Amino acid sequence: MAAFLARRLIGNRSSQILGTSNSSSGAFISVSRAFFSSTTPIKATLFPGDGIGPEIAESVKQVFTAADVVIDWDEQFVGTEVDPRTNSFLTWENLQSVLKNKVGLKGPMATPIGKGHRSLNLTLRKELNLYANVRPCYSLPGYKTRYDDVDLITIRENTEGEYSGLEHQVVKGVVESLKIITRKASMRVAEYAFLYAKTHGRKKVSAIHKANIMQKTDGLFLQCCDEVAKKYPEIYYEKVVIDNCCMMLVKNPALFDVLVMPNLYGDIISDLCAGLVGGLGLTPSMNIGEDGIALAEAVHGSAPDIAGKNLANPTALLLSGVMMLRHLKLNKQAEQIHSAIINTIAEGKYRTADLGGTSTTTDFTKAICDHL
Amino acid sequence: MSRQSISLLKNLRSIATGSKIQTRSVTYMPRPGDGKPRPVTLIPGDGVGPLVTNAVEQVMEAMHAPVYFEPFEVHGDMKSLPEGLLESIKKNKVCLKGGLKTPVGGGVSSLNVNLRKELDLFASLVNCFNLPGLASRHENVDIVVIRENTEGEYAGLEHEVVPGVVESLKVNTKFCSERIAKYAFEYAYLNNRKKVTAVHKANIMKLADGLFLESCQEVAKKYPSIAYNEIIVDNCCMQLVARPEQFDVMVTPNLYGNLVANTAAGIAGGTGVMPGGNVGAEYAVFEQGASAGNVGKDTTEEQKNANPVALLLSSAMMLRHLQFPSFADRLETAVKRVISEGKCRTEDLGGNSTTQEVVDAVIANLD
Repeated sequence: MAAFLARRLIGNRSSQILGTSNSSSGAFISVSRAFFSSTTPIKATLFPGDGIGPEIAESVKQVFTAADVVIDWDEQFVGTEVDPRTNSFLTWENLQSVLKNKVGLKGPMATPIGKGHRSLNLTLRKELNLYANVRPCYSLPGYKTRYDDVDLITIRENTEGEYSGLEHQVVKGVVESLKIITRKASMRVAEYAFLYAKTHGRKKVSAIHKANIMQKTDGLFLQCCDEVAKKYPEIYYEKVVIDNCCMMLVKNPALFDVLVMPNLYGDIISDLCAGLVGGLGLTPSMNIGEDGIALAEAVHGSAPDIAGKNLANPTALLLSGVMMLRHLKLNKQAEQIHSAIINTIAEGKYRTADLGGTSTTTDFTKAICDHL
Repeated sequence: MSRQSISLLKNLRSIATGSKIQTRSVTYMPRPGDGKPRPVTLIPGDGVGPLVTNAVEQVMEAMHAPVYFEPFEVHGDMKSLPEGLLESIKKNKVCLKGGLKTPVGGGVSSLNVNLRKELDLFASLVNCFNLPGLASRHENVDIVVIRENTEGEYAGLEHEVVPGVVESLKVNTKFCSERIAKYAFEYAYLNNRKKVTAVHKANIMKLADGLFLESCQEVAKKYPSIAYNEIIVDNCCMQLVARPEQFDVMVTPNLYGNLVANTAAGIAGGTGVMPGGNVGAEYAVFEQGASAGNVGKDTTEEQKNANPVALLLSSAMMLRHLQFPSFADRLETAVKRVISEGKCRTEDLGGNSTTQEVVDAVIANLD
């Protein structure tokens, strides 16, 4: 029996190596992983990052150990000088680690200022081909903001669009910037969005666009979403113009469920949604790449002013870790940790400074472990 | 001496009893002949457009305002603007407009955008503020979004490189960035606003938005009494949702302006009540502030309960632009009274009145 399963596992991997992979192969890998989770520890890359990164990464490790999640963390640190193989501070070994392990968790990284090298996030995105950024935004019970009924997921195309970086000065005083939309990238992200909606039991997918003005580019994006929508007739699909979407989000965020959009709109809308629930300090995020690569990350900054003082809020990184566990299909433990975090915040006794409390990072972490 | 003391006593009494006597006097001195009715081009538009422009016409009638409208039939699916429309606007200099429906993904370019380009209406202005009596999640909102209206992402230059790959050009020029920056600071100066915030994404689009920021910075130096700061567009949207009171006047390029204006309108009460318009060096077109191309849902059109407040407040702005301030004040006061009473509100504000009922209430409240 085990040999049969092993052969299936290797069989899937070999089809992948031969390059016939698609996004669903990631699901195969995760299923086979879940089968072996109780005996084989899962290897995952961890980038603690800068500033408050190491403290919150420590917090995640503690909570995961307390929840019996058997993960063998492969800690990677960014180099102190530019690696010529990647043309950035991110070394070749860092990237290879993620490519091998297929999952990772990343803390905040401060991009060193200077020229002649690529930004760290850009390097990760390009080398690992991270094409979709998934950010669930839901109101945390117990942490009151002006909006109490937010429960939506923003899925943003991460590689092209307005952020292709192709700009040039035509003549003095006239600048052109190219926005590129391709069928391949749009199909990829649309497929992922509907797959995500289906696997997480979501009822509605909204495609956000400005195709009344940018008819060909956003028109192509919409076409791809239309095609994928036909394959999922049980999911309600709608198209919303971006300005309407902004207005509806601030008036009544309960109208939305899953949102899928090109790069720029995704950037703005996902930050807007993060603002609705309490800011970037509480928002998890995950980047999906080809071949089933998933890199969960905390999107807040490295907060150098509170680094090392045990004051940081690890919620964002913890919730991102939960997303990573769900991707690995370790749903039971993911749910346990998630409830523990929600309950700790809802109780209100242990809260870090940014949520209006006085606890330290270690106290908050311990409270979560106690809640498990 | 006794006469002075009597009027002094009257003033003291009114202050003591807190009575709401309108003691504002209009010190504007018109030139002889300014009372002659001015022609204004009117574009009823599509969908709920004719409904709300008709509302404005009725209120203007009731006030006997010195304006008369020259209507033109324009529909969003026309290939180009009709004959005579542009001449009329160029003659009258002022236009009032309902929304024009733009077919999505079709080959027709938006007529709303065409009109702005033809008349070189380079600044679009939306005033988002809390209306007293209208509940919203955020208080102390009073933001004016000034948005570059002619270039940027809306240049309309797209082409298919190879099948499956499409490019769209975003064009930014120093000329347009400079003039919108100048307009924004001038607006702030003339309207006693304290701060101008430039919204951008120059960390990613270094050249394009970098050019925009440079222009803003240069103009800011000429207005040392007005505070100036910059904010990245994604952070801006987050801040608008969390703490909108920190913003005053915002100047943005084309696309971000669209998003920011709609977000600001949404937090302050909805796009159905925010006034605004487009202005260029020679002409001005007044329309609903945010989401101006919106023609409403089919159900709103059938049930005739579109919200006329935005267009009514925009027409008050138009009256001031035409230098009829007392009519503008009367109109605004009446509209604000109707909203604060709360009895007559259309569906988007949570009520169930029709457009006509709101118009009747406004006319009844005119003094």
